[in-house]
Amino acid sequence: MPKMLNESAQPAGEALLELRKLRVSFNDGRGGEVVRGIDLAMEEGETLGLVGESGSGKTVTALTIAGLLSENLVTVSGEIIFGGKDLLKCSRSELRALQGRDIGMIFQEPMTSLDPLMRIGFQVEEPLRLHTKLPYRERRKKALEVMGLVDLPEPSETYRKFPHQLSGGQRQRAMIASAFITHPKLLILDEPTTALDVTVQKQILDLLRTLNERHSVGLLFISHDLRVVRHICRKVAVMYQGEIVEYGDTAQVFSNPQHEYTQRLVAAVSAGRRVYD
Amino acid sequence: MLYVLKKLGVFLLTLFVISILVFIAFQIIPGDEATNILGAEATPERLEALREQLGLNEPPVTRYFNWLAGFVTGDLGFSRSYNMPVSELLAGKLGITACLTALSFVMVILISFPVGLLLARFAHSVFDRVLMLINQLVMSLPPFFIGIIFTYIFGLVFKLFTPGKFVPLNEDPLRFWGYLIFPALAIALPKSAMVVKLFRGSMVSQFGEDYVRTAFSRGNSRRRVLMHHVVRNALIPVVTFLAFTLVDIVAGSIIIEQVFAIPGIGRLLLSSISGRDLAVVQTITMIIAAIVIAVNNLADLSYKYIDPRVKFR
Amino acid sequence: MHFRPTVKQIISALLTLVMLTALLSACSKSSTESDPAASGPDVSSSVNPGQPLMGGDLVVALPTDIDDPLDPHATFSAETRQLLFNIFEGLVKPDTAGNFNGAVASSFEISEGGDVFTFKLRDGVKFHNGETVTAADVVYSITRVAGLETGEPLLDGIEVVDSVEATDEKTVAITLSSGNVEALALMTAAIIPEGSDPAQEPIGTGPFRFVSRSPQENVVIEKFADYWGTPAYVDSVTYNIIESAETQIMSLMSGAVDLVAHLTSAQVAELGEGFNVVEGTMNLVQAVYLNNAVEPFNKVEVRRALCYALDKQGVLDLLSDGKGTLLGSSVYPAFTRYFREDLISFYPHDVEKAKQLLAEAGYPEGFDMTISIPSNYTPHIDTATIVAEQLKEIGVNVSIDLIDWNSWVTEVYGGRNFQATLVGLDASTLTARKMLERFETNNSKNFINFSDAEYDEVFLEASTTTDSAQQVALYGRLQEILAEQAANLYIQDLCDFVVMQPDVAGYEFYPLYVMDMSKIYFTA
Repeated sequence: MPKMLNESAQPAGEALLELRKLRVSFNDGRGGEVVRGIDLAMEEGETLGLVGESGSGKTVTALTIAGLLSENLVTVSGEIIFGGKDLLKCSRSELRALQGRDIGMIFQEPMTSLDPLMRIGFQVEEPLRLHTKLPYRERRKKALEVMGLVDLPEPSETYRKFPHQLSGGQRQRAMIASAFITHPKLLILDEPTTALDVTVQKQILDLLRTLNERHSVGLLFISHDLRVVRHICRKVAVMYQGEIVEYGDTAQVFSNPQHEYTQRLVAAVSAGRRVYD
Repeated sequence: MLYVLKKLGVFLLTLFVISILVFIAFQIIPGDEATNILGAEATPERLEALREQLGLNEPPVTRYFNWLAGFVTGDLGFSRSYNMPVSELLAGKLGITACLTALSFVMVILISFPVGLLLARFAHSVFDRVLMLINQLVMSLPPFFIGIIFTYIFGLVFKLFTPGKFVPLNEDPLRFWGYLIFPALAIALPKSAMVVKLFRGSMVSQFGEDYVRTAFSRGNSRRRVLMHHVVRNALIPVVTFLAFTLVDIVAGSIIIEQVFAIPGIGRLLLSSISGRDLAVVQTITMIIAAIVIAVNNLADLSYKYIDPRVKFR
Repeated sequence: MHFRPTVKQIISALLTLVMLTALLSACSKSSTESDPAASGPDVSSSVNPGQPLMGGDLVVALPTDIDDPLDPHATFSAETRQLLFNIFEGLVKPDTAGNFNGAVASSFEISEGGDVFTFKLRDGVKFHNGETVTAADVVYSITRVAGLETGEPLLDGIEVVDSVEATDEKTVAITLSSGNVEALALMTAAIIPEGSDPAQEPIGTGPFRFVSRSPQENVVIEKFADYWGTPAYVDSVTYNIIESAETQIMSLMSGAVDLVAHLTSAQVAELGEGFNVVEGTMNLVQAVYLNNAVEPFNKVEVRRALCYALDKQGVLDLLSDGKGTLLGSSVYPAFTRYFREDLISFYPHDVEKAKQLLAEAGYPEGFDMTISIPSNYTPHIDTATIVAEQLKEIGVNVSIDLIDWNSWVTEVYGGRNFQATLVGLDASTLTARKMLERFETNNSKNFINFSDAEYDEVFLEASTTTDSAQQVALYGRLQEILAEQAANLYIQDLCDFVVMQPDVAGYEFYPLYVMDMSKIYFTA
């Protein structure tokens, strides 16, 4: 049972996302459960960080919420409540309707996460193609709009480019554009800045924060890097060996970590240079 | 412009080298055209006389350049065996082999692509496993064997065509192509099996890539991921292989022409080699070489069409 | 897709297409004559079953292509010769018994010394171009084939012709350099129109005329309406070139061809019931021909040992169900006058004796040998495999070396560069002399390097005698010498099966490699 310390606020109003007793294990018997019964909740428009080292189960949690782990691969139990529905009980087509429209995901490696043979613009507008009946002209208009929104230079030119013609930061912006174009309620981000240059990281984080503040899209931010999380997430949950060992406002968790693992994490961060303000 | 010139240069150089190799091969193997024309009982004197007449006694370099000079000016040579110019000998036969080869190639694509797609869509299922087993079997069947079986089953049992009764194009275009279906299929089946294995494997391995995960996250179904993202990425090794396959098909048609009694250039090539008819062998070899080069060029071009990362060198 | 080509790319695509198109001639060009539509003739109900019908278009399968000029004076391929037999005729023509009957000539006389042949031309013999045959045509033809003007005789054996003369409009006299009992066989040389070149346009006097040839595909001949003799039954014959034996058989089964010759007994068995099968012989001497000049075959004991080790009947049993005719020397049974049947058992199968002889010759443990075989003759290859098994018993290890036909002719037959070879030798002209002359010491075709003083003497005598009874005796002695000296391992004259559709009949075997199409008919 995770210890819910530093409990500053219970979710008020209807939660955007709620995980109840979520358990995930790999079917090939890879040493027991990877996610061992976690409870988590997110509000609309909230920015929640999920922190832990590799192997803590944070990525698996994210992928499970996004519905990207096939049932051949994993066994899941518990509940994932999103928009009033338990995602684990949804049919495949119901899930697909949510994926890309209400739940977007952004991955760590922008180079390999984009189809190298498809133009940027087509990839950005793909969610519209899948989830709306808008004609091409409309879709293109919206794509250019959102590309401008994420600060991609010369959207109409970039529209026709291929991923290998963009820089790392630009590709990640394109990924964000693609995930954001349908104004999803929830964006799951799995280490979105880890593979980027330091300066670019800041830009992307600022962009994400802007999106969250202006358009009220919830961000579930997975990272091993506390500093990055501190920069953008108001709440943070710490995962350790498949369990959530600490949860609360980021500021509070930082200043007053309760669990010893959190303490070690915080100590490590403080000892390093302060990169962000 | 430079690109075009370069390609053309390589093309011509390759043909030139091949013609020299064929010529050298003919010098090395025992026997010559005179023996073929005059037969086993010819006296040495008569053989010598014919050799003089054919110019076979001149030094090899002279003979080669004589042939080359004629070839580039359009004089493909004269077939002594058939007493007609090589161009006349080849006309028509070339078209027939071309039709057979083209039909076979089209069949390979028409069979392997849908099957490959289907198997990739349902990869690792029982259906997939069973079909891959059958695929393995078909891949190892020699065209000759398939040809005989087809001739027997479809020709004699089901009477869908008359074995041994080739229908020329100008006589009945429909039956002409109808006659070619089974020989083309005999060649195409084992090749299709290979393409299926390669294509399916390529697609299945693409499914482990990151962009596929992104595509799923956008809400694509497995079918859409396959058709809109994976196929294109998976095609690249397949295109290379298809270029090789075409060459293989040309080679396979030589055997199949024998089995189905089709008057194409394959049979002619074999009999010309054993008859030591250099002019015919050279011309046919040049043609096959040119086709191989052209096909490879087309394959190169198609990469640029498929993969924008490839630069135009 | 997502590709807008640049000018460069468009040009190179076009270039590739041009390269391809330049190489592919239009699929619609084809040099074939269309096949005759229906096969058999129309049958009226009043005809009795089995009765020969006039008309119909016959389709025959040929195993090799006719890739020679169609010149009867100069063609050396047996396949071409047998086809031309139907188009051309000489002053005389062989029949199925091996006798020479008048064809273009109605009668002839041979001088006392056997060196002058006087022919009376038959009335009303027409060429395929409509012209009547005259003495001038005969003179032209004989002059051409004997190379009287060029100094280059074209056919084997024709060198003995010294001169030819038209003594009047209907009489021609041919003079030989020396009398020759078998010279009548030479008079089968084709008579062609004066000045014609058959390689360009084959015109003869035979029951069929040449229509067309499509290389690797077919040859078509049709009935000549103005033929002087018994007209052919069928309207046309199309020879389809089908190299693969399996395809020949399937073409028979599908009805695409009406007649296939030279099938083996196994292939006939494959066909099953419902076909018209006739059996004859191939008219050749199949043997393991031993190079008498190389070790170990330079020792007569070794050659004899191999002969004793050979179980000829065993070979036939395994190869062809026992069918075929055994041989003991270099003349085959169709030469009824000369064939020495008694020589077949000259070396009865005796393994012990063979081993003993080998030991005497200095090879008590046996030895290794190589048999070179042209790769396109399956019956010979199969025979060699059986012989190899048999020779193992006396310690002789045979390895079989397959080489292509042209290489065989050049290296083995011409260059005499071999140890042993297994082939069938035939006579291109219907003379026993052809079979025996090669073993004379200095003959250019003596590829086995056989040399025997007595043989040379007897041969000389036989070639100059004009007494046919004496010739029989002398030819007999020659065969004996070949057997005594164990020149070769004689095996058989292979059986030859001709298979026809059930409504086709009339095939008759000649003592030559020919197919007489004029005798074949469709039945009701």
